[in-house]
Amino acid sequence: MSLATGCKATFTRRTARTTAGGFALTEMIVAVGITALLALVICSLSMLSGRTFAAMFNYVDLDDVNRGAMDQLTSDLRQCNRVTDSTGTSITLEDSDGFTIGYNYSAGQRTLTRTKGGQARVLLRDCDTLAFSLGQRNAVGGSYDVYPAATAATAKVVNISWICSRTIFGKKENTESVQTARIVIRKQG
Amino acid sequence: MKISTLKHCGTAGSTLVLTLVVTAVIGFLLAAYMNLIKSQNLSTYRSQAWNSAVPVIEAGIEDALAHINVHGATNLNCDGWTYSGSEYSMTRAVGDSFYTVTISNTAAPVIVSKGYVTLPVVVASAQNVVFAAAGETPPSAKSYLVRGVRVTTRGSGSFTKAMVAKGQITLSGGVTTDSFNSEDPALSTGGQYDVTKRRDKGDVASNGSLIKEINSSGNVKIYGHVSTGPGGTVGINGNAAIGSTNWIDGGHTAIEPGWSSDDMNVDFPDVQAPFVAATPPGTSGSDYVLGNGNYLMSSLTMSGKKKMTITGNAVLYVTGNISMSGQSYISIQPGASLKLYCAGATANLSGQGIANQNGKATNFCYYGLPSNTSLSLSGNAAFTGVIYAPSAAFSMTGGGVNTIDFVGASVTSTVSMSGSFNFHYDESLANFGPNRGFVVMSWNELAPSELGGNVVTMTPPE
Repeated sequence: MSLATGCKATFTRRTARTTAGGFALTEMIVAVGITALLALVICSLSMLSGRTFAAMFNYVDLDDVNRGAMDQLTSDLRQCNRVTDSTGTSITLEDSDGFTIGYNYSAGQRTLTRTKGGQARVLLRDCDTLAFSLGQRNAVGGSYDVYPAATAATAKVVNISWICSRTIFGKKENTESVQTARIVIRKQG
Repeated sequence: MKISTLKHCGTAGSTLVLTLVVTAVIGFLLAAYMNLIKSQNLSTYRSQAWNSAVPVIEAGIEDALAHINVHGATNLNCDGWTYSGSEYSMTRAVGDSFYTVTISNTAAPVIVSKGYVTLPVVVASAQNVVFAAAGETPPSAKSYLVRGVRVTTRGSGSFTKAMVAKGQITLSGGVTTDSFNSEDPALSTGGQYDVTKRRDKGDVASNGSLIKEINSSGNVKIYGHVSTGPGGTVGINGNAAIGSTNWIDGGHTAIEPGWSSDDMNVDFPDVQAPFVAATPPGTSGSDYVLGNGNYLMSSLTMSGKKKMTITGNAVLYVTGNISMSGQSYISIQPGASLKLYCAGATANLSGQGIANQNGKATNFCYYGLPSNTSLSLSGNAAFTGVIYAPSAAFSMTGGGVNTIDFVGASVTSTVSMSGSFNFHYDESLANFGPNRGFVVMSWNELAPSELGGNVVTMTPPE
């Protein structure tokens, strides 16, 4: 019994030591593998999460800025006396207080600047394209469109459209803000 | 056993720490996302409320304009409007929102419209309004975003230009248009046209959009602007000239740059019958005599030397045709006036025409009802008066060797004028004639200080 037990015990000890050593190596390999995999997953998740968060932040921020710019433009246009000058990328208004308001888009700087009383304020940044076009009040028959105005003097409607975007690692995905509006000058007389 | 136990405890701790760290990172990320989404949500709601206030405000302005266009600038205390503190006011609901609009009791009414748009609770809470003072706020109170607009208006008459037509205008021969102002001594002499005080507001305009919608040839001179509907053009031939006094008197022909446009867009309200029953005109021998009052005729035919004398402020409604020929004429005595309504298809004011002895265009008004489709003036007598017949084709012929003066203004369906006519527009007529309604002269948004802030809490109106 004793011998047998001792033999068994010796055998058991040897087996356990051998097994423990092998498991440690396997465990090391598996652990390193799992750790690497986890690290990869965490890195990927972090990258994806970071990019998504940045895209969402850009979207929210662009949207907020664009709303503000559109509110300012619509307010100025609705209550102005008239359009005094316009190109495809700029427009000059005579405000109801007699002052001049200018909106000028710079393609090089990608900005839209509002100027009144000598004070300039950048309303939009990261603006890829912006276009103004003028129309009359007269509606084209059978459509919702209006006749284009040949000159600023006959303009009663101003159409605006712009696209702003930001890049994340050089890509523009999910970071565009497209705005269009048709604003009617309220003054009739 | 102890070693084993220690190892086990260390593993469990690492897992806990790792779990806590991962949870914290995920929690932080989630919080950041939620905060971002909340900001976007707030921004969207606020923007939605901000922009939806404008249609509510404009509904109020339209309501006020409709009210003053129907009832005039005074006596507006009707149709549910109330009068208080020299203002007429009205409050109406538009869905969950509402507007409060006031009209000042002045000749040129000022309209102030405030639009109240229900704020979503999430935005209202973010504005730190009210809900903080729950004990003082009635349970039915709501938070509103409020914006307001002040609009100044002006009545618009039908005779704001010299010659206006819905369709084509053809001028030939020696027609000249210019202007003066019978109410301004600097622009007239004794209230009459004076060529030395001529002005260049003899505007000619058509709502039409055809090629050569306004066609001028020969020696036509238009001292004023020309305008057509969108896409319409102005045809000009010969020595015709259109533009400023300096341009035309300087010997230029064609159109002065900037004196032509294609943005004419005017509505011409129909003329209504002035009454349905009245007495026929009195007679004196074979002539008609009209004093103060209303007169009704089934038709009017005058020939030979027949005369109609107007001695008071008369309104004559002819339900049929009007025909004047020979040496017949209508004589409007000093201090008298005639409003002549015609429902017949044709009106021919030939003969010696209208002898308006007051020299003021407002003393003779011709109104053509929608059934009046033709109006002609011919002969060699001057005409002083206004013509408003938006369905009638208007033709003027004659003049011959002598140049005939037309003093006043006209609004018709079309115009054909040939011969030697001087068309002198009286600028004092700008606010005369059928009211085309009040138009917006300025539109200004109220500052938040004028509204008591952009967010208010109040009980919705009943």
